[in-house]
Amino acid sequence: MSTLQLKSLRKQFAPDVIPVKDVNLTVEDGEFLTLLGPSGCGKSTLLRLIAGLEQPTAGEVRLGDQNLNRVAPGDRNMAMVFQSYALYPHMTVAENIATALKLRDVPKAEIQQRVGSVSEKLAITHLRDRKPSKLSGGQRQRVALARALVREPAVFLLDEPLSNLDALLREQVREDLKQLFEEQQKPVVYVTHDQTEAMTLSSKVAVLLDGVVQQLAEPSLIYTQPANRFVASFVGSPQMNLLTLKCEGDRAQLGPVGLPLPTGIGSPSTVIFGLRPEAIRLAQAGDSLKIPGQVFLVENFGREQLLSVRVENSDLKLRALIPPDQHWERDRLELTWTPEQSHWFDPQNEQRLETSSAAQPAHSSL
Amino acid sequence: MTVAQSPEQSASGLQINWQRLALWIGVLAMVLFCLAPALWQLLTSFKVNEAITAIPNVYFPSPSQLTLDHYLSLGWIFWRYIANSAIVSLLSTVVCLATGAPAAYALARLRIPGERIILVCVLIVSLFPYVLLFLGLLEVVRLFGLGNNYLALIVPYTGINLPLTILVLRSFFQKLPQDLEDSAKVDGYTTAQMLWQIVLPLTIPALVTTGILTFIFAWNEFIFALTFITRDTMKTIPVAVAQIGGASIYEVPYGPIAAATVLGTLPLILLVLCFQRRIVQGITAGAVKG
Repeated sequence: MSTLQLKSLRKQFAPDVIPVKDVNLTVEDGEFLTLLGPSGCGKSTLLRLIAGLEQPTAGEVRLGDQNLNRVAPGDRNMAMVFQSYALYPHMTVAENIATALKLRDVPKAEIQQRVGSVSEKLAITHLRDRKPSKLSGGQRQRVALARALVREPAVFLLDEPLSNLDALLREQVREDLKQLFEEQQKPVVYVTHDQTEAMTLSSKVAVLLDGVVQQLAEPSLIYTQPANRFVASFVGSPQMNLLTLKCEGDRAQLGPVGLPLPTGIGSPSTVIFGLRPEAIRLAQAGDSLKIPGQVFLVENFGREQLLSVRVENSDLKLRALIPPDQHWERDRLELTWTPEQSHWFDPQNEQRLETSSAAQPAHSSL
Repeated sequence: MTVAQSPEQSASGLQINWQRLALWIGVLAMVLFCLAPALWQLLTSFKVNEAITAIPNVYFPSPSQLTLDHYLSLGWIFWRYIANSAIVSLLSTVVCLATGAPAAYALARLRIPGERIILVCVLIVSLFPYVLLFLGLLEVVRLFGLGNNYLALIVPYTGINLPLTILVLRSFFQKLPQDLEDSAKVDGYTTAQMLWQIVLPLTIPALVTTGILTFIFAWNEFIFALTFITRDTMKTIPVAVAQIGGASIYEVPYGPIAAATVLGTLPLILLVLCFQRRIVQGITAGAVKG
């Protein structure tokens, strides 16, 4: 049984190039941790630090009670799947899968048996004798997975393994991955910039920006309780509406309407108001909150349409997801939402303003 | 629409045929232009002396004008020359690759302080006209007593070709996906095993390409070979060919010279043909996404 632990991990390449700043994380057996962030946020460097391909400037990588800082990548008992798959082009599929076992002096019969069973599990048995250049993208991806699985390592590391697949295949492989790693019951660290992958696969998500963990929580919490403005804007598609509003007393001014500020955040002069497009609906007769506006752009997704609305008497814009069967006037429509679904952020430090009405616990920061 | 287009298509088909014809005429003219001297040499090596000197030129000799005498006149010693050339060229190629490849790998992969300066120096060395080194080298050869020794040729040939080898191989290593090496490390290869079992097999096309360039240079080099080697049994092909003389100074033995040239070039042609596949083949195909 193993626990992967990162303690105050830091990586500095140059005085002003610090891709990883003081990261603390713990991944237990059976946990699927996703490092989510835009390109350049340090997520791949973090993974390479765990794998031992980079040496940390400070801090520790621990597996169980062993400090891995001085342990070579090959001796860490971790398997890694690379974004580019990195199959050895001069070896057949079977040799590719078996090579790590051969290097560890596993008996021949056992190698055969393990390669065979993992090939069967991933449905690549018929490809055993082919070279990687004769495989399709999806097949290469499965070979790369097989190469990791066959080792039965203590930790799995995956670096954007789906990003080179086409959209349809990606969805299918995502399901397969989820099942596969749930069976393994080992710590999994998964790097991606795709929020759908992060949301669907993980048991925990760490959102990274500039080498700092912005929020570490379960996927649902990341979505419903984003810890700051960045997480709010990065997670969720279409992007959350984020508006800087002036406040007067206990009301924030959104166009002609004063939104009541939630209790517990005091009375700031300005506030960042966040609202997911899918939380907005068309106002009906009985609604007390009605925001009038004009539609200036319609994007049709089939399942729903995304309206870009200019709020009346202001230059503020709201984007709303509306079911396609609902009718509205382009020149004037009224929007509404449940106040509990709005998010409030401090305009200075961009952190979430905790409202006393929120029954759920604060985001767990580790 | 389709019906209206069909006559147009056949017209454009005709157009393409003209273009292809022009292309092939161009290709043929180009090949003839480039190969003419070589073909003339080949022809000369098979013609009897009368046909060689006949005016007007004999372009299509009759069977009675053909002979193998020129080849036979070269004698057994010519095999010795070929062997000399082969030894010198092969050894300098091997040494060049064996020292250049690790240097190139280090320059491509490690973050070496002053890497640019090293590269500029390497480049400058390759820019220097090597004939100018020759007097200095002569002194060095004398100092070490290397005259009439294969080493007198192997060492300078290696040195002259190292810059190009390093530069070409470095750019090749830079294109080799780093992920492969990382993957090997995670799989448990030691650095030496990784270089030997993963990097080297993938580098073969580049090694062959640069190796052939080095080999051709060494095979054809003349000045050093002429100066540093004086003993007849140690001579390389270019020197041997140049020193084929006639019975008197007024007689130029065109036939034997042509025959020697053809024989001396054949190994190179065979070598390039053998490895051509390797050069063209992209062996890294399939390593990463595609």
